[in-house]
Amino acid sequence: MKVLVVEDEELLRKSIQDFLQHEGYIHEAAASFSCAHEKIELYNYDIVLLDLGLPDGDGVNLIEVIKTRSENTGVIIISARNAIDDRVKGLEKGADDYLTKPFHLSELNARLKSLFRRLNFKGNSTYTFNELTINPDDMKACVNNKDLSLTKKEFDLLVYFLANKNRVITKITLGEHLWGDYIDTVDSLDFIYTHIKNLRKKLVNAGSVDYIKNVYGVGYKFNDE
Amino acid sequence: MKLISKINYNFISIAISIFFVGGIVFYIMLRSLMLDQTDNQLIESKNLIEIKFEQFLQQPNRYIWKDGLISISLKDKTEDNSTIISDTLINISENNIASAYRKIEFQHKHNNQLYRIKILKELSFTDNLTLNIILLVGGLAIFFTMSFFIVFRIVANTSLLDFYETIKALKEFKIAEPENIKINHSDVDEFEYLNEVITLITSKIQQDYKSLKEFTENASHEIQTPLAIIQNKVEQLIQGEEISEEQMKSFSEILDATSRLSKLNRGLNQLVKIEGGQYIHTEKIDIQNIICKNIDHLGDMLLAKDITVIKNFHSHNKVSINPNLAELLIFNLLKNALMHNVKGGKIIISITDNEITITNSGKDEALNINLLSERFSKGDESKSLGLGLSIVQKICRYSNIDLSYHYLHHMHTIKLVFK
Repeated sequence: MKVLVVEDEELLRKSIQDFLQHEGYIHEAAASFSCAHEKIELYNYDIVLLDLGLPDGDGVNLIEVIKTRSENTGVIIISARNAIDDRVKGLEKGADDYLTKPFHLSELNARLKSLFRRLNFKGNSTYTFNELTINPDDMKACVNNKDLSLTKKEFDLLVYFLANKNRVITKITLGEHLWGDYIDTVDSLDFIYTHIKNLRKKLVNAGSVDYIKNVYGVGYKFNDE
Repeated sequence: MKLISKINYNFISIAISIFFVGGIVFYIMLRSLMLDQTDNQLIESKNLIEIKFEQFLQQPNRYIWKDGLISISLKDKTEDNSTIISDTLINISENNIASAYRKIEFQHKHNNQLYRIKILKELSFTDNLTLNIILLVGGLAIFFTMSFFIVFRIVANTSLLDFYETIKALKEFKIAEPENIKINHSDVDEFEYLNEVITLITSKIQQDYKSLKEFTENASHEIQTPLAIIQNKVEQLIQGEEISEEQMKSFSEILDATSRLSKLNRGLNQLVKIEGGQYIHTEKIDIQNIICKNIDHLGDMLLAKDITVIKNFHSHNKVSINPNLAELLIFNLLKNALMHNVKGGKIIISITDNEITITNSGKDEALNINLLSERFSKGDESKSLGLGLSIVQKICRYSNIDLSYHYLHHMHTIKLVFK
């Protein structure tokens, strides 16, 4: 998967690139509107990570350029502007997803993979990992071709873990991914443990390896080693 | 009080007092003039009597001549011989009512005999005349006042039309809208000047507001980016193989802190946006729908805290509100009801035609309603940012919703009345 990171803030750009490198993506970066414009015209990318507030132009205007060049290139806006109208405007222009800064890298990872699947397999994106098979479109998960009956949250958890294999994911990251802003209403994130415990139990009972490991009580890791 | 009424009120009270004082002065002057005239007539009569005294002597003691009552009597020498003019009351008629008279008394020497002569003239005629004149003048005064009152009202109303236009334009002025205030030209110099000043001030306010908004947005942007860097770096750091449990816990705390900071920033941003009136557009919104949807999303959190939600929905009315604000309002209300709740507590939501009440159990004492508006006022030691109710209050103020708070037996109730 080839990703273009358009972000003017050097440190953030570097940190995203480090992450992409670590996760095995092919990536390039552009620090300005003009540089991004040039790269989009010259090369093909699977996904463009687009910051809206660029020093020499509004990133929103790049969306059309990207989409006219290749419909199959996905656009994920990463912006500090979280105004709803900005989000709507971006999505209307053709952006595929929207992440508000600051975002969790594992969240970005999940969105990248999900978007890539959506763009390239067009609703037929069965994903297999060892004995696990999941289909995000009809929300089906199987272990050794045996259907698992998972709740929506458990299914989302599994998809998220599979997108972030071998990454430590903190509870707050999981909470925000699954419940969004609603997670703020509880003082303790311990209830997430219940959902993970149930998911693990269902997976193991169906004959799967117990991949999900607790990391010092602060997070979890889907371990495939 | 309207300016016209105020001017009219002042005008009438001043006019009445002027006419009142003027009337008294006029009355006194008129009366003294009338008296002077009566006195002159009396002196004239006196002179006539002195010339033709013999003729008068032949008449009876008291008789009427030229509207005057004349009485002649013999006098001793000792009495003074001055002429006295004075007012007197005499009871002449049979009905015992005294009438006012003007009297002249003088002496006359005739054939070595002193006579004392009195001439009395009735004043009631003069008094009647004075009264009539006063009434006439008073009537005229009232007539002029009334006419002026009406004429002034009409004139003022037409002249103030431009002023009312200006007020209307100011009322409709919205700080967040890009276009400047539109006021029609006035042919009155003062109003035109006022309009110019208003246009100048409002455009300056709009500019200031715009730059403040830009500043807030920039600040928010500038804060979010370093936060994103911290968060992403820490997230990468925890992927390392040789992280100890202690380090892992510290990193996790850093992530919690950045997450809170980011939410605080977002909350403040929302507050600024509501205050700035950026949610102008309104729609008919089914609040019940939003509540149900939010409760669905909150399901796991409600379960985690073992909270029962009781829904008393008596109405399915739609209310006019901005859709984004409606979401934000309900979310913050439910969040508040959940956050400050106790384990095993309950949330009661009631909807009637134009009212929504959300009651929740809680360990806190009653909230100070005045503190509600203050940012960061917190009920307890919880992790809350204390922005939720501020946001609720801002939305209510902006959307014309009456917000009230009651506390009874550890139950907190927030009531919204849609107007």
